[in-house]
Amino acid sequence: MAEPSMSKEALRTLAQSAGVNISDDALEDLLPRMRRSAEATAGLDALDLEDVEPATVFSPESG
Amino acid sequence: MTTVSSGLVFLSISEAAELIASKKLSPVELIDAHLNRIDGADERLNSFITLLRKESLSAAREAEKAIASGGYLGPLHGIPIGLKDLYYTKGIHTTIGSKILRDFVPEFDAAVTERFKDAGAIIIGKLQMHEFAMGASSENPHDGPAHNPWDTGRVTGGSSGGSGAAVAAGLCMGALGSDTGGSVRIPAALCGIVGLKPTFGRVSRHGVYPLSWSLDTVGPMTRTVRDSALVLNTIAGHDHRDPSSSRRPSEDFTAMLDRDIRGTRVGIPREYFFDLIDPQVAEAMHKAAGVLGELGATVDEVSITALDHSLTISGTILQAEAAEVHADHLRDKPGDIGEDVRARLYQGALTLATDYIKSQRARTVFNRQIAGALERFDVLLAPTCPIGAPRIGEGSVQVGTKTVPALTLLSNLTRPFNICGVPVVSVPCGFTNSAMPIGVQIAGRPFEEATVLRVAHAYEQATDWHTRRPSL
Repeated sequence: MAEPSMSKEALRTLAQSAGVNISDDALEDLLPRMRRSAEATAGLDALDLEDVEPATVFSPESG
Repeated sequence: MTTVSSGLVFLSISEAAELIASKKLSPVELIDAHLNRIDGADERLNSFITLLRKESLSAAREAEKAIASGGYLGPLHGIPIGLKDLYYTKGIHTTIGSKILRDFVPEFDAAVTERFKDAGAIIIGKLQMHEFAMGASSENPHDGPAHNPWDTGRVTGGSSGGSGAAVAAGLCMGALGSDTGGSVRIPAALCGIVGLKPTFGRVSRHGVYPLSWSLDTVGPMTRTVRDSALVLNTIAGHDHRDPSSSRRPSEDFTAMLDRDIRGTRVGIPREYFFDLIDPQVAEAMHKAAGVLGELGATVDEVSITALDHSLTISGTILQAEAAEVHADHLRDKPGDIGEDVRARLYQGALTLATDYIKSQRARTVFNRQIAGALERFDVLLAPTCPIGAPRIGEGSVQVGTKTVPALTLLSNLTRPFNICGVPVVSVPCGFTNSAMPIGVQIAGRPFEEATVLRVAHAYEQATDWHTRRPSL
């Protein structure tokens, strides 16, 4: 799970791993958005996801 | 604001169809009237990316000939339709509102383009949109903003903004938008027209440039509910070329329109929809609920707690899928993508796989709660956009005591119905103090478009919002 306190350096590493070249300024702008997003995703635990499968699942019939 | 029901360009599709079928109106005359209207108005609206003047006139002449010799094909024969510029049109530029795909010319038609052509509809042009359909304003950095016909200093909403403006201003009789987080319903609400997002899988997406595979839908934008039903009749149905296309048989979506709505159970979600909203919009929606009550529906509140997670679920899934759709563009030509869309694509590209899967798991819970509510209620009622159309370039707006980013706010209330994929229609339900249109959403059970349209039609017939036209 993403850490709410993610750093710019962590984002830079993530971008490099994803093969995306993001400028320093863009990373700066992105950081607060990514932090908010990580916090919001962590908040999904409030829905009690125990034993819940994702909405999209592989079906061998549909290939 | 004026109330105008005369003039060829403001006929409804169903009215024009009757005149064409009885040979009282020539498709050539109808297309001419629309081309003249476009010439007179689109400089101010910027709603077309590609105008198909020669092609549409030629198609109109063919339609006229066919109808004169007894070959009438049905209610869309000879009707001018606009396509958002992400629907593939063989041999015609399809830009997706982008610089990167400026020169893209598809070698085949989208399934919906084929169906329109088979029905004798006339494609009059390709319509302006937010770049890559990834935004709610249609302020396009490459083509300039689409302008709202009710106030050209304001946005149309998006991403199908050209479609909203063109239909509202009488530049075409109907249009197709696409709806991933509200892109049909937002411009429909802000431009004062009807916008229908059908059930996920109801309409083929073959030949539609994707944004998010698990959220994208194709939907009509028209000036009346009946016209949306007529367009849906034409475009709905199974298509083996789209893996998500439903095998459920299509139906005549106009058949039930005139049945009354007595006894229909209408639920208004207690959570989320009224947390951040202009009081004028909330009041208009509650008045709409009152009208449905007067028509014999029972209206009650319903609790759907998962709604509070709508933006997280929708945002995570949409951005991650969009980043994969545009992975090559983001890696090879990021400078050719507008700033706002690029930032969202970056965010999607850096989304962790675990967060994406978690959002899809939360989506399961979300969908169960919506399904539970729709067992107790036939339809759900909610405001479409929390505010009227903001000004072009307006970064943030004041809602109550809060200052919030205008563009993200626009899609807050439409996203929930993309998560669960149910059918939902936005219909005009009033105006703000700034004389900008307000819309209300009516959502129903999967594949029950007929119910959603019936309730919307009953509301529309009991009010006169749909008869008002911008004085452009």
